[in-house]
Amino acid sequence: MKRIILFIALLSMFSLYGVEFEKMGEHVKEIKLENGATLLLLEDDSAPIVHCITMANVGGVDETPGITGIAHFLEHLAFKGTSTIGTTNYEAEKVILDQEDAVFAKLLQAKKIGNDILAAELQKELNELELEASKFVVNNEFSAIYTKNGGQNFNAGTSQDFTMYQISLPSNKLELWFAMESERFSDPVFREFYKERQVILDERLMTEVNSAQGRLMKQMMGTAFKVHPYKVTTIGEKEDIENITRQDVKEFFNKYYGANNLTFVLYGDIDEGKATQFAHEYLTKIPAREKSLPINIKEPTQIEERRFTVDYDASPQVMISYHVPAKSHQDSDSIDAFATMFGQSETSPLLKTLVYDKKLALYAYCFAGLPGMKYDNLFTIILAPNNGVDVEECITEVDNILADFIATGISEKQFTTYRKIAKKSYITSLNAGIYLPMQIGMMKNITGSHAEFFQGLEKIDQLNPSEIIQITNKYIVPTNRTIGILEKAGK
Amino acid sequence: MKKLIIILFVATLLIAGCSSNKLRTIDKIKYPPLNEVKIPDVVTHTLSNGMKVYFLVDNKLPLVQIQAQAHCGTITDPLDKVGLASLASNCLSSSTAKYGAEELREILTDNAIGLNSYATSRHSSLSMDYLTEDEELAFDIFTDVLRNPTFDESEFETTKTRKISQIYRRNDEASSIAFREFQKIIFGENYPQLKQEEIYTLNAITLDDVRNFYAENYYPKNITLTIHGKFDLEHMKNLLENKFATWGSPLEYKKIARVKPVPENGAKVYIVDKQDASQTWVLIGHKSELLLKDDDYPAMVLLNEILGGGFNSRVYKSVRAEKGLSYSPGAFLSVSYDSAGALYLMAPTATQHTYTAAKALVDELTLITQEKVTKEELAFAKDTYFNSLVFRYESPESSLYSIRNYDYYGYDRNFPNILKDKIAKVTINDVYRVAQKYLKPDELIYLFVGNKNEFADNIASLGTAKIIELAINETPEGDIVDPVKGKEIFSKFLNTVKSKKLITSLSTTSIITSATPMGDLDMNKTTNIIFPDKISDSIESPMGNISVKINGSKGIQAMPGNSMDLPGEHISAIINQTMFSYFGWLYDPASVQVGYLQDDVVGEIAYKVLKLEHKGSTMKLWMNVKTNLPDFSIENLDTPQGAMKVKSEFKDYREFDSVMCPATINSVLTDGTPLNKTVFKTIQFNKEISPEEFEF
Repeated sequence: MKRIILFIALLSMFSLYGVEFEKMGEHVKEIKLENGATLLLLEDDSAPIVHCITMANVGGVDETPGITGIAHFLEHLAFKGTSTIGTTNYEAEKVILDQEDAVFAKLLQAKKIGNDILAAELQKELNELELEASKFVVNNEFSAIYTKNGGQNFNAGTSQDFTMYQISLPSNKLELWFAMESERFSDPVFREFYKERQVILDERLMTEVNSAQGRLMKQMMGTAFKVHPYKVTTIGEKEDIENITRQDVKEFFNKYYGANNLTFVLYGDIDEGKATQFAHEYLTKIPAREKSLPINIKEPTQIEERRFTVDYDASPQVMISYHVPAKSHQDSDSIDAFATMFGQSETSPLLKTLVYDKKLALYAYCFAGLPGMKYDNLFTIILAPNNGVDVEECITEVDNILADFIATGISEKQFTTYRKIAKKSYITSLNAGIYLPMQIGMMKNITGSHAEFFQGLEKIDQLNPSEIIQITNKYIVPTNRTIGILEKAGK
Repeated sequence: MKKLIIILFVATLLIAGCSSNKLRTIDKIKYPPLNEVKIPDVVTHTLSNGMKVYFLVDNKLPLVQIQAQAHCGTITDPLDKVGLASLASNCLSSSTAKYGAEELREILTDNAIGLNSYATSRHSSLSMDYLTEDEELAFDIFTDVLRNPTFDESEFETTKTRKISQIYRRNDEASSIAFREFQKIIFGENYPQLKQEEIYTLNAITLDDVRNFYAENYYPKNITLTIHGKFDLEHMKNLLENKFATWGSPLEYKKIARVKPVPENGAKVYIVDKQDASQTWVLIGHKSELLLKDDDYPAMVLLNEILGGGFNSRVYKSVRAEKGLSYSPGAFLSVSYDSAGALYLMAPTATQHTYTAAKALVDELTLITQEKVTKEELAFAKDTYFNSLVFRYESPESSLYSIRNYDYYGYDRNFPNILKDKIAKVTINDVYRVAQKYLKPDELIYLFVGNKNEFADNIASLGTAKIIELAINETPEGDIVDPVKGKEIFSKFLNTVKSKKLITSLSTTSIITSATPMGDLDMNKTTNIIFPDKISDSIESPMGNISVKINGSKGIQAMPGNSMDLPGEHISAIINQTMFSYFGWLYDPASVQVGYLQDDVVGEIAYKVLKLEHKGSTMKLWMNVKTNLPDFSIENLDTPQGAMKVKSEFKDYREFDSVMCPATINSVLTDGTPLNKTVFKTIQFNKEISPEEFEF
């Protein structure tokens, strides 16, 4: 149960590699159920295993101020079972859960007016109710059922653009998956809500507060974005996590987890007929709800360079981010191509100069799609200076390398190499176990079409090297960027 | 790949924990039998030059992965050049006779060929992946890298610079500090598998060192190849033969033995202070000697599952779900083919929960050693294990690497199936017995990485905490010694000199030739010692008999007409000096801390130099490589006249009372000034010495 940030980098690479390799893309069956849910099937009988992905078309970006972090919070609670899974007596349990919520509402009020004594009393009362409720809980039963049936890779992740649930099973257990996921998204019970909040706060401490990368990332989002929801990381603001109520989560669930917002992807040893039959039998129980609409918030054009420094006890790291358009924009393929050629291989200008020739950096890399791809996002260069190298020297050098690359242009050879790398990576991605349906699901979620995953090479063939430079160059301007430096003051 | 039907996957239909009497939908599902599993067909082959190859043809995608594993690693790095194996491996793939560094990077990138090389403690790997269509080129490069690396100087410098940058970054994340320091504590700082690269050890490595490392370790019989992917088997065999047949070497394969860890008996509680942290990494555990092949391993598989195996383990349920103390708690006992493992209990937790989280972890550990697991828990663990067995065949290449490893470590190739059968038979009592045998709540070591001031008081009840300083030094602090090698050399010496008997007393008669302003004097001296603290020294001088007697904490110095009590510090100094002498070493070698320093050559004689420490005194000892005996020592002594550097030569070795001893010990100041010379006439060991000898 983690948040997805780094996957985005992978995704931006994988998204390039879709070509119809041995017609794999054609083998994906897309089935639309009557309640609006989408099922994607891809058969591969090399082992009696099935990898199962559920993609919910909701992420951090769909949150409103005051409840940031709720998409991720909900994802955690989606492991807590249903009215029949994870409880010994739901009716009795529900009474106490409602009492808990009533006490918590009073607790929030007491905190709001600063009545600490009352707050402490209410907290105690809440703790007692939690203990009472826990008597009905069959701890982690939802996961126990999958686990004892041989389930692997049981997890979930929340990104800005989507929420994804995953499990791999022995393929004879396929029906179990349909039954479980159907209950999970038609009849969830968000039990152990208050304990889970503590777990999430602890997750935030680990991944964001006590992590150099986490700190740099949070500050970059908050600085580069002023208006668009990408400005808050998916874990959410601490104050919001602390104040979200179970009712908030229920409302968020009801708004975004309708069948028409869900895509299920199965890859492995599956029988199409059986899978379709199970889908109709089980997944149709998930109610259709209002189709969630893309958010309509436009980040104002940046008009001057922004800079920030994070003072943290770790070695220096640098992030340079330029605003670029969403994946669906016609410029995005050129920007992805630019990123790959500029700074993703050992011989790319960024690495060649910074790491090998001038030995200024331990590593350097660049990619588009931070922190998501559905909306206008950031083309980002990250680097770590070698010990003793001034961060400013690195930044200046990156500017020089960029200017030089843009001035020189992309050679025929560079472009051929790009295509070759894309081809190999695409083929490799077809052998990635559960990551394959994950990538297919992500592509469907972001672009609306799973086929995009398989069409990358064809798209590359439509690109023109000089246009790639020309298009990307529009965005590589100082006033459009934010530079973030993490270093320990005085070191 | 041949197809076999496997009936071993027991589909369990019963699901525990039903909420009511009526069956739920999920309880009513009938599962069909599992489809066939394709067992990967791994082919083993040896090339004419002795290189061993494992093949697995897999036509699913037009990709090939090839790996050369050389049996050498960081474990043999000299302590003053830690990083050698790793640097050598990293640089191996940087340039060849045919391709310069830049040219190589370019041709690899242009053809999307991945090439990687790295070293682990006992293996160095060179791996390549390529599209089948590029087989010819890929193999040309791979062979050239393996056979003709040139170790480009600029690449060497780049690699070194990057490694040094990584050292500066090693304390950036609390989790990596926690695991690294915890292992150093439980396995001992000097455990060869944990050698830590430092700036000065990297800087000490030369390009020649790297080239020598390659020459000594990379030869056909010391390399195992694995090839997986889409290729024609017969064609591949011929290709390999063509590429490698002319690469001969008489050298045989060398298996690096495992070394047992020797932890120092230090504190129980350790803290790394990170003042900016709002979260503490709690790590608790101890070392373990359990191996995969041991009879207790099958029960441990299930015990691990029950204690900390996942969302449904005891630790996860308690620490995360029930108590909300940590996002990612865990517990497991690590087990490997042939090396020590460890028990790890862990939880990153908010600073204010540091003690509570530690206690919650230890409570779970204690409970499982005190009470048997339930029938349901064992059944759950077995279901989990058996139902997930099919995932072993998810990636065919994992079978390839497993078989290579079974061969290397001397395991049966059928190990997984043997294990499976044993696991089926594990009982509740087995799990209980194994828990009591391998989990030791009384021997736990605690490590906390976090903001010390915020939790130190809370954890005080666990014991006095030792603070670990995380210095990154550019130069070494003191001498770098290798205790494992030191012990080895010292044992050789002891085996050479010592008869099997345990030496408890000593009686010597010697002539002292002493250099004084009055010239050389011959004086007879008799020394009697009952180890460790009864010493009597008697010298016949022209002025009469001078004697020193020590009996435990008391001692006197007697001269004709004069006798005085020796002060306590003189007594302990004499005892310590006696224990830290040639004869003291024979009596109690364990009281001396020995470390290997370096090789040395003096006057064409090859030496291994040892550093010896005993109760704050240190000495360097030159061990003759041919005789295994010390030829001389150099010691810094604090004397009333000031600090002196004394060289003692051990000469004229012969047997006294069947123990090899120097007949002459000649001490001089290092500037050449003679100090004293002792010539032994007799030395007797374990002689009955009258207690009266030490009375006064």
